[in-house]
Order: sequence, then C-alpha cells, then structure tokens
Amino acid sequence: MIINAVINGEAVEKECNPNKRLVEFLRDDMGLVSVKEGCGEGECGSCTVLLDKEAVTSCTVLAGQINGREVTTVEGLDVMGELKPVMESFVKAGAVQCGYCTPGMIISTIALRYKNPNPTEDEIKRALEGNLCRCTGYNKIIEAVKKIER
Amino acid sequence: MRSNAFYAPETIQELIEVLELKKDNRDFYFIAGATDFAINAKKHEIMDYTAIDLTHMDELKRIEKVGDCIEIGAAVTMTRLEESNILKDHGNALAEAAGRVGSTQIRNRATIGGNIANASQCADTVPASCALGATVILLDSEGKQRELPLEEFILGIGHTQIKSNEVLVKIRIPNGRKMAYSSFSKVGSRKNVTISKINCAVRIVFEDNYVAEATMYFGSIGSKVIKAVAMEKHCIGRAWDEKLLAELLELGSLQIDQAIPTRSSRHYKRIAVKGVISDVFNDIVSQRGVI
Repeated sequence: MIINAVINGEAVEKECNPNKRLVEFLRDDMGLVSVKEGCGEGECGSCTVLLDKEAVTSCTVLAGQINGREVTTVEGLDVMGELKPVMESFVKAGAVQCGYCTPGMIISTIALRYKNPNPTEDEIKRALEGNLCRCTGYNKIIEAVKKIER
Repeated sequence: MRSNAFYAPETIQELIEVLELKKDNRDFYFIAGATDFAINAKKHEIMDYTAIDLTHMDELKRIEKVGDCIEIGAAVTMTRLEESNILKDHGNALAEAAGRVGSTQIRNRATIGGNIANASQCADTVPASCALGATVILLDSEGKQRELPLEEFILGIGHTQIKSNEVLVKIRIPNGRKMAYSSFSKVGSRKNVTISKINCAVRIVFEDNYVAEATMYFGSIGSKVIKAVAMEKHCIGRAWDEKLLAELLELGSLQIDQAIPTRSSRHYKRIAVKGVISDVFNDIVSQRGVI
C-alpha cells in the first residue's frame, strides 16, 4: 500500500506494508531513529510520537492508519524550532540520564503544551504518566517541564 | 488464507462492503486504537492478517444527542469521552471511567467500541456503560442494524454476540434525567496506568432527597460484569447518608463472597470493594452538593 501522510511537516508518499507497526515504519522506512521501541505494548511510552498533534505510542498504531494524517517526531520538532526550549530545560534540570525515554518524554511534553500552555504539576504528571523512566526518578523531568521557557 | 491487506472504510457503505468480504474469512481484524490488538498480535504472533481500520470513519467518532438518547460512535476515543460535555451532564460515570483508562497515549487511541468488543473482564467502560443502561448497535453486511443490551452482548472474557459479518457501530445510553447522578471508581495495583482489580459504577436517581432508582455494577470480579441487585434494592427509598453507606459496604463484601466464593482473590476484593463503594458514594454526595 502507498501511504500518504505528512511526516515532520513534509508530505510523504511511501510504499510499505500497511500492517507493520508505525514504530517500525518510522525507524526502518523513514530513518527516524529518535523513536525508540521499549515494551512494544503501549506501556512504556518510549516510542511516543505526535499523531495529529496528540501523543500516541507508535507501537500500537499500524502504519496504514496514518494515511492522510500528520505524524511528528523529535526530528521534526527540531526542524520546526519547537524542540530547543524543551531540550534545554531537560538538560538544565538534569532530566536526561541514559536518554532512552527522553524523546518520548519530550513528545508528551509538547503534546501537553499544545493543549495546556500553563500546566500544573498534577497536569504534568498526568501527561507523562505513560512515559516510564528507570533512571531519574521523575522529579527532575517534572522540574524540566515546569521550567520550559516560552 | 494468508494475506496482508488493509481496508480503511470512510463511510457506512464502504464499511458494509468490507463486512461482506470479512464474513467468510477468519484472518480479518477490526482495528481502531489498536491498543489491544498490538499486544495480542505480538503475543500470538499474528503476522499476516487483513486489517479493517475504523479510525477513518468520521461517522463513528461522534457523541450526540438523538431523541431521548445519547449515541456514542464506536470509534470515539477515551480522551473524547472524558472531555465530552454531553457525557459529563448525562453519563458522568462513563466520562470518569474513560479518564481512568491507561495512560494519556492510550486514551488518545483506545476506543469505547474496542474496549467493549474486546470484552476484557477488566474493561472500565463496560460497567460504567452498563450502569447507564447502555445498549450496543451492530451493523451487518446487508446494512441491517440490531440493538441489544450491552450486558447481554458480552458473553464472557473475549466473547461477545457479534457475528462474523457484523461490526459494533454505536453505543446508546438513555438521556440522563434531571436528578440522576452517576459515578465510577476503580482499584488497581498502582494509582495510574493500571488495570482494574475491581471497579464499580453506579447511577442513582433521586426524588425529594430519597433514592428512587439505583443501578450498580462491579467489574473485574468474574468473567462478566456483576449487577449488584441486593445493593440496588437496598438503596430504594433511602436518604443518601452515612448509615446507608455503612450498610452498602457490608452488602458489597457479601456480593464478593457470593460471586467468587472459592477464589483466593476474594479475601482482597471483599475489602477493596469497600473502597470503590465509598468513592462512588462520596462522589455522588459532592455532585449533589455542587448542583
């Protein structure tokens, strides 16, 4: 099947098996390796991407389902200039250790800020509840999200 | 037949055409949020299959008032259920249940139709919908619809009355009355992103400060939701006060003893049930206080 979608702001037309998972399509066919596979069950959030501006785990989406939709990964946020303030805040707060969960954390943060530019701590926790981090203990990540400069 | 086809119907007519193809094939799967499917596909190594994607069916993504009912499209996500003002007013238990499912990412994808048709004993939207008196509407390959009560539709874990040429298109709940309140609560092994060990949904209608109608359901106890008939009857004609709550807590434990007398989880659940009953009871107290 030929998939037509907007990926990281660009219209993409790509032949692929529509039944493969979005995480595989993005990594293997599109070379977007910021998207990490962790649990493969939608539990850990490391493969989180934006689908029509909402955070979703790309291991629980089929590639064919993005036809006509918009998908954004950290690579795209970088090009669009949305990554820098979030990334800098994560670095400053010490919210990155091994870094495997970080792209997913950043995507969930961006999705939260689209919906709610001034989130409370509880709202931040809820937005990131689907992203597991085994290094930091979460406090620094929540700090980082709180302190993002506009 | 092994295949790797993908259908993404956008209209009811297109959906009916795909149902005609599906009816004689066992490797066709409906996919909406795919949050259950992706896990099953991995677990059971489902490699080659035909997917029928329901996420492009705009008609199934609406929540609307139709006559005396609220109709919820099967492809409405948990996030939309949680945010729906119609549901907050007329089906609060369902909005609350949807808000307690999985994580943000899961709620953005998982659908009510998927939660129901997957027929997990732990599904959160099922007891909530049952408490609201929900029926399900199925569409077949001839374009005919049939409607049946949700409680009858689900036969057991992973089993429903759906036929191979049918698809779940809508969930219908009666429009809430003025003095009707509903609530949902659950307990899992952790606070958030958790699968219910026990959940509870209630709908209470008051008349002059006394309970006129009561509907109460528990989920995650047996293979199907349990209608707490004794508790429902006990509420009728009563004021919604501490005395009633204390009696309901005891009846709740009794309900667990009767439902799962031989299971080891009974000892935990007969206590945990008191927590969820207290939650929904107090939620209704505060809802009444606000209005």
